Amino acid sequence: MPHILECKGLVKRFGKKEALAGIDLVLEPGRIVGLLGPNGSGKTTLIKLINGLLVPTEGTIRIGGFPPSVESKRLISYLPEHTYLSDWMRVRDLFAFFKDFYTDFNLNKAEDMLQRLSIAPGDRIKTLSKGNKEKVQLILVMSREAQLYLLDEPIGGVDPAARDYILSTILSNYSESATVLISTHLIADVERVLDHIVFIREGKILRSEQVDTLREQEGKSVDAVFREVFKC
Amino acid sequence: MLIKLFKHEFKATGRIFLPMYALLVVFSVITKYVNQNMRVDSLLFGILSYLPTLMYICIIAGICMMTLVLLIQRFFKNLLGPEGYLMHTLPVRPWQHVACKLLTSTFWSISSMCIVSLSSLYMGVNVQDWHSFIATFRGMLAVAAAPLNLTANAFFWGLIAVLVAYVIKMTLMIYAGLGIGQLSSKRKVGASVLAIVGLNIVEQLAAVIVLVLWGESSGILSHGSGAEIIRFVFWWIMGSAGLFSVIYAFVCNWMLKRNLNLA
Repeated sequence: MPHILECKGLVKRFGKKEALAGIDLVLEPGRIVGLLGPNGSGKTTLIKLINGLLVPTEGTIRIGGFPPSVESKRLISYLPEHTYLSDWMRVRDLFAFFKDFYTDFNLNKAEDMLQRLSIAPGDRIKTLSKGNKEKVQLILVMSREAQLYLLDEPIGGVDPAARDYILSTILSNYSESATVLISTHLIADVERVLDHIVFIREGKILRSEQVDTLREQEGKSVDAVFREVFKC
Repeated sequence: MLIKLFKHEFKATGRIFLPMYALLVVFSVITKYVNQNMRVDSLLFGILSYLPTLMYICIIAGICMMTLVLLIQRFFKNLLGPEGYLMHTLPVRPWQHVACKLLTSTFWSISSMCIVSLSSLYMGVNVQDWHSFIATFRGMLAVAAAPLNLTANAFFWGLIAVLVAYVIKMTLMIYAGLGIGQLSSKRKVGASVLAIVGLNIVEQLAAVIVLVLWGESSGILSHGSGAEIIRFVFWWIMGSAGLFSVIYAFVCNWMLKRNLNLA
């Protein structure tokens, strides 16, 4: 089976600071993967490198066989940590924007999800609450039929009800053949949805395995193992 | 993809420029009408009669300011700020982003100049005097063009070409400065201003040195006729604008492709 993501010897330095120190990672299609690590461990840097927002200092990345490029961007649906929506736009403008640039954007799915949130397509982004802005952004990302979803801290800074909404939206909208990479440090909330985990600390991968294997080997939940591994 | 970028960029900028242009047209008409028809027979009416003129001047200043501010803001916020997370993950090449911003910005800069000029003409020239104004203007162009052995039309379009080349070069210089400034981790705005000033100084120095060395070595500056010198300076302006535009476009593309530093 071809790999959806392949990183070899990936190093990223910002001046003298080494954010990633030789990442080797292979992800296969059809998995929900947790990229787990404390703050500052290199999760966001790795996601930005996969997206092409940063350029690696050393090493290579392949997404569906392509290096980070226009071709790889067609395969990736990315949810950043921050809101990137333009305040002046209406929700329907954003849908039109995504429809224009991504051939895999499913407008019906997006409108359906929006309706369930009781947000009108004509609402301007600046009038939405922070939570609703994040939900609209999630709808945009999950309405694409992408091959790789990169979700950077999707449940960070939201209330428990919103976390449930976000996780159920992810679970019910990604295509079975796609891979979802979720970066977070809130393990307990995402543990139930994960197939595979990648523990990352100080720019190095400490562990990358199936969730079931990890539970069998350790006899503990992922959350408990995480707390043990990343104990301060 | 470039056409799609244009479509969204025009939508984002047109919503600001078009109402301002409409406002200028309305106030041009009002101001001219008031100035021609209002009888000032008291202090109050005297003050009131100046209000539309004041508004008119403010709108012109607003359009000029807005053109410059939007030129910077659209590039900085849309490509180097939080919106960059969306823009740079679109399946679009970095040079297409630069081209889209440059051409849209050039379009609005030239449109602003045209609408302000047309409005000023409307304010200053009466309809019955229009033909004599055009004739006078053509005459002035012909006088200026004569030493260059050019027609009035060729001289006019030469001036327009210089203007467009300079607008493009200045826009790319500002973009290159913003691209360099965003490398700063904390003070991106300050670093961008310094980068723009720095680029401007370096460019001016380089351009003047080349002008003097080239002009002197070819003997045009010391022995050439007035027409030869003006022709030489015209091609120097066009050449330097073209060369620096290419350099700045390369810097912008390189910054977006290899050195993006989104917060």
